Amino acid sequence: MTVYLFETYSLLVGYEISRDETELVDALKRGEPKAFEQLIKSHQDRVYGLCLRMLSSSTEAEDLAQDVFITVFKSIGNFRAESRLSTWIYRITRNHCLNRIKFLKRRAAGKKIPLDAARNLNWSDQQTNDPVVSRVYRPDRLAEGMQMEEIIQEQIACLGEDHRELVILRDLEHLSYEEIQEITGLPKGTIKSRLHRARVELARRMAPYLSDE
Amino acid sequence: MDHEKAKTLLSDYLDGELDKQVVLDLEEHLSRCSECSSMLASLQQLLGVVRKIPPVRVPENFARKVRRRAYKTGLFGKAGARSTQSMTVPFVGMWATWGMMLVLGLVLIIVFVAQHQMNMFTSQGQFVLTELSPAQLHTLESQARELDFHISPTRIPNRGLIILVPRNRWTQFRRRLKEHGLKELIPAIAPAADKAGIIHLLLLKASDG
Repeated sequence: MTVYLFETYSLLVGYEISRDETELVDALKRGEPKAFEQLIKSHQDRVYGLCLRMLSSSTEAEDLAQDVFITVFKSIGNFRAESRLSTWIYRITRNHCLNRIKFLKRRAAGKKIPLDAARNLNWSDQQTNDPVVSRVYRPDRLAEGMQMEEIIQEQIACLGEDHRELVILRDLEHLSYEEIQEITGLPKGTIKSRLHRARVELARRMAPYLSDE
Repeated sequence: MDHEKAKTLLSDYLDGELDKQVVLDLEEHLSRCSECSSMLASLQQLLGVVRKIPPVRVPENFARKVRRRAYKTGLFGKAGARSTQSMTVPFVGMWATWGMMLVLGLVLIIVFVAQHQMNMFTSQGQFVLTELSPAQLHTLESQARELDFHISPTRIPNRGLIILVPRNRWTQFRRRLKEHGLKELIPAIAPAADKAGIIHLLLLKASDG
């Protein structure tokens, strides 16, 4: 709620907000711990949220989100205010997530856990040990009290990273196509077509659960 | 509108990303294509549910953990650290370190003083009691003789003596020391024996000087 109010306010009085942001960035560049604290407070939910949804592991997400803030603070000197600070932080978070996923995949490969096989599990499969792709439940598990929200998050986790990140950024984080473009560096057309394919795949995966909705 | 083209535009349609004319063409196609209408319905249903998912809340103490990590990685200098409330954690850490060092120092001093006062230096089953008065030495020797412990002289003549106390008779010997007013010597001798089960007591007289 606060986030939305903040965004609405920033649209109405963009100059004030951007001035605040400039002051915050300047303070960060001076290495002020208080500014670092303010940065964490204002961005922690979104950074952690993106990490959690990309990695599907709260432990990994928390660790990675901490890394993100350390990186942001270390590399704030490279921020040239060509985009919003939040977009820049999202870009760093997204890159961290992709790197961590690569690392986890390599580790999974080392342990001989077939990642792709895990991702392509059919509906009757119960669980995987995969560090990136989380559990896949049968539709009848709904009757056992599974929340729709959890199911969606699990099905999103089963999408490939390139599809997953777009669904998260657009449909869960409610970012504009322009912001997604800045974060991912992808052309708008690619984002749109890829997002469409991601949604179609997610709809297919969710069909057994949504039919009773 | 072409069916394949229409299928790819459904997401843009739901996001309001299409021009008016394209919207009209697509809607016209949807009115006669059950496959596209069905796909649109399922996408609408999906987005209706997905977009209702509330934002994620960060775990408790997250900010504190990040701050701690920042300080650990040396992200802030000491001056910067003092200028904020977030210094609590590293400051507590610093005080804890100094406190621990102080306590350790005190413990070492106490141990040293206690050892010095008791004139006790031990190794495996070996105890040295120094600065004993002739009366104390005499009592120890006579009690050891009564209990039939092995007694031998030290390498330096008249410097003292060595008593070998079997571990299983330590309690008896201790009782005798208590009875003869040598209770204060007991704490200096731990009831630890060597591998053969013998407690070696090296008793040294107080120096004449």
